[in-house]
Amino acid sequence: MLRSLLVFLIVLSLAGCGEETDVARDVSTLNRGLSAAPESLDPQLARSVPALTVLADVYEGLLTRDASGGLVAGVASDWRLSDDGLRYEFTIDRAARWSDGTPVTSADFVRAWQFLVNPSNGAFYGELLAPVTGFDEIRRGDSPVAALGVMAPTDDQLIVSLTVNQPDFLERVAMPALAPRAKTTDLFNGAYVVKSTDLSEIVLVQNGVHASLPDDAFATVRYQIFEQEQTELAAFESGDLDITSRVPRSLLRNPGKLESTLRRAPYLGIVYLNFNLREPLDVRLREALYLSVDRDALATQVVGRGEQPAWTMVPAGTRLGDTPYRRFQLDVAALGIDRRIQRARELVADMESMPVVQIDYASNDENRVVAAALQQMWQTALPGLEVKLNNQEFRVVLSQARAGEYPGLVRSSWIADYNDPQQFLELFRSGAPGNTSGFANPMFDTLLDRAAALRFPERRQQALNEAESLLHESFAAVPLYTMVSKHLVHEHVVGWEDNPLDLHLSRYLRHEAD
Amino acid sequence: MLRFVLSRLLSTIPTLFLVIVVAFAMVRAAPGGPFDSERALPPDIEARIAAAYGLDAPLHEQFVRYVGGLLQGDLGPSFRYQGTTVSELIAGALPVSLMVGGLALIIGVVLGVAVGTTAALNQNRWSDHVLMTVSMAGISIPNFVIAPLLVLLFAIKLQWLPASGLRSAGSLVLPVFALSLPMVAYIARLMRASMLEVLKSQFIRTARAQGLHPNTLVFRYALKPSLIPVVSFLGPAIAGVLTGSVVIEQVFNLPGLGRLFIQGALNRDYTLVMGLVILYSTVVIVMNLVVDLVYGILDPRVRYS
Repeated sequence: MLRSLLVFLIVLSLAGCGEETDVARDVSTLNRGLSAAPESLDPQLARSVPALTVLADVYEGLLTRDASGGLVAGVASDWRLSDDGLRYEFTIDRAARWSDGTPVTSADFVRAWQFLVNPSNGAFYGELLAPVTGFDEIRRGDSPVAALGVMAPTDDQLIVSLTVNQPDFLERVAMPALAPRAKTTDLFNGAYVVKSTDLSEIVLVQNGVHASLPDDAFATVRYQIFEQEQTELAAFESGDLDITSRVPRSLLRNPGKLESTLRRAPYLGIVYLNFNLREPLDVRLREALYLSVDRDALATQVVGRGEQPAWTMVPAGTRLGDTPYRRFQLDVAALGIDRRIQRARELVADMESMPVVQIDYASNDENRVVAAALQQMWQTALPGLEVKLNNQEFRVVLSQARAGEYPGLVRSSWIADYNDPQQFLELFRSGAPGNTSGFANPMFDTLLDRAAALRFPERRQQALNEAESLLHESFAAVPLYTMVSKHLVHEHVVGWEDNPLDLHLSRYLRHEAD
Repeated sequence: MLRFVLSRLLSTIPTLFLVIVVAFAMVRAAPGGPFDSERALPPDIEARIAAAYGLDAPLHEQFVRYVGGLLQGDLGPSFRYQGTTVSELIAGALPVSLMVGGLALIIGVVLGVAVGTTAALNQNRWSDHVLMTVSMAGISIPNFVIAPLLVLLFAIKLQWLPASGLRSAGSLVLPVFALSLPMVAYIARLMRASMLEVLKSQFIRTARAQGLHPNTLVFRYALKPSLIPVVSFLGPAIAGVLTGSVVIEQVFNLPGLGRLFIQGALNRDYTLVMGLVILYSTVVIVMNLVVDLVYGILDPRVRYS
């Protein structure tokens, strides 16, 4: 009797569990992973990758992104650039609506952009509007935000005045930071609206009034937040998650039966080492270190997930508007590692003594193996050299790098917000906030200024190549490899297109019909 | 008794103050700040944000301001999550930790006491050896080994239960089980030892000599005094379990206090870390007081003065 009761109870509990998993497999819900809780869902204030991912679903700028990351019309149905390249005129789509049904007007953009440049709001992406007239005066506090060169003469007309030709301006316009700002914060104009949010998940539902949401789009998008990549992987494997925000290194090495769900693609990001130029190592040694990194081995064997060796700071795949950017080419890249090591040894041959070189890096799996490989490569290539490794917590390394308080090199990385080579070169502008090497060269800065104002891709190409060459010759950094975006995407999700910005709006995804 | 409680509560004030001072100093001593990110802010903008959060003032002034806020029950704004206060974050996470921890605690106490008593009554028989071996394993295998194994088996291989999150009653099963396991094991061992000692004591021998039924003997007379070591263990254990298990909440991705604590520390969310430290120390102090009071119920010899 007792035994049969026990069996009955077990069967009952298993039946109950079966039901639960069915609910989780609801085909109208897309379950996406996020690597951290967004610090804010205010489009003008957010700055982290997880926040920008969610914002791309719930807000739409004048321009937006298609499934492959390309620029397409968003709230603006049309735009024109004046002949002198200093005045944009956007026409707002009359069908564009906030989630409460009220029309999106040009005044909503003026409100957003003025909020963004207002220094007291502390918006990170304020610099996106640096080419707009009045920006510098407002930032200095000399003018009110109303002096910003953006005007709304009618509800569907937005006029932007620029101080320079800014060839990447439309790319900037597609960033969430330049999305319109409603009068209240609970309104959205993207394909989805935020239904609920806490530190473990953000639930989005379709925005009923959005014009271009396809019929078979997911009704609900649930962003689940996983600080631990292994936990996220377990959720994917158990069927709770359709798309992960990243993939653990261990799985990439041996994906097994998850191989078919693995999506890797070149990513507009670069991993590099900054030299501390405030107390610089001998330039001959810097060049020798630059030369004697076996980038092929590093990219293909040490990290080995599809990364590409990097010789300069601008990754492959960058574009100047419609034309691909041709990167500055280096002769040494064509030399074999043996020849390069030979040249490196010649460079340091007449140095009196070899200093101790230290690499500082933030503790994580990838950084650890890369640092160990570099230590090995350098100590073998340059006899007598001692390479010390120093790993610390992410924010510790970051704050020391910012302050220039690291003795030798610091591991750094950078991911572009939009596709333009200047996104990477601006890191080395004198005194720029992200310039941890302390590189300062007025000629380099002038070249960047010139490039930023040149409309014709050919001329920009030339100026940027010159800047790249100048940067290379100073050996301020050792580019290592370009990044790869990594996700697991369940086979029943279709519409996912790999793209170099790693932007995947939920509106383009759908459940595969059986 | 009332005087005892009052004087104990008064003596917590300097303790808490000391905790606040030390925690404040340690949190601020960590390099890096809450607004650091790989995407650096222009320095003037960063200075404005710091000023908005009062971080531009000298440290001692910030401390005075913080304690001033505390006295009015204000734990301050989160430095990481814009427009969110620390009280809101804690209010969101506390029920999760309370539920998971509370369930684990109930299971731990009930099962632990039952197993310990059973083992004691069957001392040196095979059932005693089996139970004690299993509980030894329960104590020695850490949570961060058990929890992923449970996920692997029940969530990934068998797909019976969700691997993470907290959306259905089913998702409570694995974390509660993983959290209660070491507790069951520990309480069982404590209970067995103390039950054996009590069973050997004079008053039990007297009761037995008077011909009391063994069940009455155990449940009426031996159980209460045997619980004293368990209760002493439970004081800090309850505080630890209710304020969130860091490991369990990370592995099962539960939005509780433990996960908040880790993220707060990594993000240098000064006010959040401070708020959690204060909450945790308060719970520890209160639980220790409760334990002292429960002694009086369990053991008539205890007097409060």
